Amino acid sequence: MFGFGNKEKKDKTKNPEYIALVEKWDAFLEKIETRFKESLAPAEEAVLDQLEDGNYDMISNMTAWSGIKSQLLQLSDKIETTFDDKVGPKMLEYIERYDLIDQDQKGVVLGESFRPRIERFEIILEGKVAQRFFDHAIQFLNEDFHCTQCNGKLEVKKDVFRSHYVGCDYCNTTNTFTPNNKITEIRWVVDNIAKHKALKEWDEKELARKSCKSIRSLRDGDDKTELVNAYNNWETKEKAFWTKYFTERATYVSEYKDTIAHDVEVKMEWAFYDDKKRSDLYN
Amino acid sequence: MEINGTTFEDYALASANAAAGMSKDEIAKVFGMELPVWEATEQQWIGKMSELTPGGPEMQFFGEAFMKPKQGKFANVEGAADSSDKTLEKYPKWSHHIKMQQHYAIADEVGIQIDIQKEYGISMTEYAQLGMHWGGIFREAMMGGDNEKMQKLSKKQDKLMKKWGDHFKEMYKDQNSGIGDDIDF
Repeated sequence: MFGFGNKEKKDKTKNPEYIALVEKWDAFLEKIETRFKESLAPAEEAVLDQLEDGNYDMISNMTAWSGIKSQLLQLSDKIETTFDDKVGPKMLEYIERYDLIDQDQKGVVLGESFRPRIERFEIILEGKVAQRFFDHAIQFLNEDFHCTQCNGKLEVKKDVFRSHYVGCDYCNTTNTFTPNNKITEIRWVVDNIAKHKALKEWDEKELARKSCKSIRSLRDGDDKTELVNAYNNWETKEKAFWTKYFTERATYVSEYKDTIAHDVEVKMEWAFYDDKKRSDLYN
Repeated sequence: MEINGTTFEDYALASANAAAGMSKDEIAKVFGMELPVWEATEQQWIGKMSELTPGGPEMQFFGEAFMKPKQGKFANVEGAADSSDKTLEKYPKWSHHIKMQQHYAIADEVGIQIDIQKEYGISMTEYAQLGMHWGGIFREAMMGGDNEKMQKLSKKQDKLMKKWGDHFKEMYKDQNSGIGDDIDF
């Protein structure tokens, strides 16, 4: 008698009304995906416009992006609540709860894809914002600065964005150059320029990481070759990314040139080696 | 380890006082340095920060420095930030801190930057002090294994977050038109 009821319910998966419901759910997800994709270009335009409209105030610019990002992420919540409140209950009229998982997963997969896609978009956007800010702020360093003693023209360093001593070539007086706030902020925006310039390496290391993480857990006695190769590949790509990133950064702030190798090692420790130590390689 | 005669503790206290509004010139004076030397020193410490272990003794002190910025070389400095006791006198309730947190977070979601100083009359250091104070009480209950207390605290936290969350969502509702609002199932 129990099987009878289940069979009757299971048969309903072929019910045209249920099929229509699945199609409607698919169409809903497609609309969300389209909205997500279509929102990115205007988001970029809005954030870049805000930079100039806001007189290159990086804090308000970051807040503007934060608001847009939050809205993009809310699409994921929308999928979840729509499924829980509307789609799921209606589908349960035709299928068992365990059969609902497949339909739920479609939404989960789409919703979870937003965060990494936003992360990549953010690298590009912040890179563009940073470059625009840099082009604006660097002009202040191109102004003429004069010696406090003899009024001779001073050669201020173009890659030090904090106060520093500048010797006068004419009278040997040591002057203190104190940059304005915009110049000081360049130090922080170059990180985003460097990251954007290392986007190709970022993509490669993300791919290598995901590939490594997709390998199923190993049990005692399992062959570890695939995992060893995956970790080796990830290590190479991760290192290539940080090397490119720090090398690019040092082209803007020359003080960092001497510490590139050290900085890469520090980043590798938490971005890669920490994970490797906890992996199945050592079980 | 020292950089130009400053220790990590010096750097942590300088950061806490800077976040409370002390100028770089004033900080440089505390260390008996000229501004360019202090800024170069500070930059080196910023680089060192990434090498420190999260939760390690240095990072713990970094947190403590924000709770009590008027210590070490800043102990007798006029203008150094007060300790958390003073901030707690001003905002003694957990509700006060959660209100600020929710205000900040919900405004941020709609692209508005809240000026804590302007809205609540406290600096970022004082705001951090409140966070560390209440976070510490929570952590203490957790470490002590007092489940009953933990449950009580969690319940209270949820209640306050909802209260202030609803309050600020209502306040910013006109600015919060979601990009997917018109898509329906």
